[in-house]
Amino acid sequence: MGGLATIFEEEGLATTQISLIRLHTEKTNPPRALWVPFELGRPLGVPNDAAFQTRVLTAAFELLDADSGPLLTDYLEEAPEGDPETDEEAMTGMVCPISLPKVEGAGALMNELSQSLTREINSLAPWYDLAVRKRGRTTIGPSGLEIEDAAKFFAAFIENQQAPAPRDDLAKGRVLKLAYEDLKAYYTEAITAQPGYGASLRVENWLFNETVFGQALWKLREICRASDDEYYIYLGRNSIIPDRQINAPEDSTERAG
Amino acid sequence: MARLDSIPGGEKKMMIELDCSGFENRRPFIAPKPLKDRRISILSTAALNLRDDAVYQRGATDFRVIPGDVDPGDVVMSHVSVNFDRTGFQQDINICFPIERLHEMAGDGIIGSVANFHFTVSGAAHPLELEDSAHAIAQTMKADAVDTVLLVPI
Repeated sequence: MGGLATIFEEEGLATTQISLIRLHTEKTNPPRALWVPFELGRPLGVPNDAAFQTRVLTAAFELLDADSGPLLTDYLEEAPEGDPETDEEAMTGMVCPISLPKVEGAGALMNELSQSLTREINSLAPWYDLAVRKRGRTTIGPSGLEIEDAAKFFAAFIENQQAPAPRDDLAKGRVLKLAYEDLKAYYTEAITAQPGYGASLRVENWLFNETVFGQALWKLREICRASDDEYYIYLGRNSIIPDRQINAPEDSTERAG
Repeated sequence: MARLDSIPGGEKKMMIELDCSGFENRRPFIAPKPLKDRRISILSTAALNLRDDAVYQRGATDFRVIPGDVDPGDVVMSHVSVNFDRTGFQQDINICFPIERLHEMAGDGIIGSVANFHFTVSGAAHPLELEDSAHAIAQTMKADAVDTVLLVPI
């Protein structure tokens, strides 16, 4: 990011940037940068809080008033971590968000994965629909598949890696990646329509540990790691399960940027 | 939090060891001008693309264009990394692509104007690998009378 700022500045365009990884900004030393103490993926701090986001932008734009640089300034206002009250209620069962099919172990799960996924997706549908109505948008779409078709392909691949991809303009592994990322988006858009899921780690813990789909993603990771195909090995290494869900984090090589 | 001590071990190790070289002796710095006179374009490294655009591939060094009057519902994300939160983006595009905030600031006279075009790349690539794209983006920005770039990571 800092390197890009340097390139634009050399082109005659003034730059200011938000920095999430302070160390990288220190190394690249761009003309102006505002380091923010927010989690990766949330450079403006808080979704749906225009005032908070505007304060961050204002601080970044204030750097443009300086007569000389480079400048690296820290933004001190922390983002609130979800909603502590409703998160606590959800964690202790006072809020029972969704009645999902019971996860009964990987063996039983994989016997009828496609049907289990379909039941789970259907159980989430009211919340997904609510999320779309509330936000006026969905981020599902990169796979180009209907969510039911993405689930069918995902389940078919886990059961048989020779299963054909539902589209042929991309390599099968890439279609697989896009399909399960769309499924992740379906699940997380649905659950975040509920109270108690403002913190991203809470959502992540639910997805990967409390759902049939999450169990299947762990299974997919095993399959990919055992593959002799370079792309599937890459997926299994660091492109299915987030590092903070894995107790072998030395495997990570992919960066967010 | 994106403090290094809160990032898991493997990801943290990668972050610490990440090659950031290539810019050591490059120190451009443009003189200030009033914010209210600036025309601003966003450069995001979140691998955002319009719904009908080609998705980003692994190792991508190309870029995508997002119109200034985009409907947030037309913007999706095809970043390859799973090591950042996406639920913020799902709830509000402005969390990583603050286009509505910029329009508000322009409407309030705080900034001069919002560019007609904004840009995205995949931050998974090294900045030197993105240099050709950055130069091409810069030419388009200048043709759009942009004088200021807001760079937003993911």
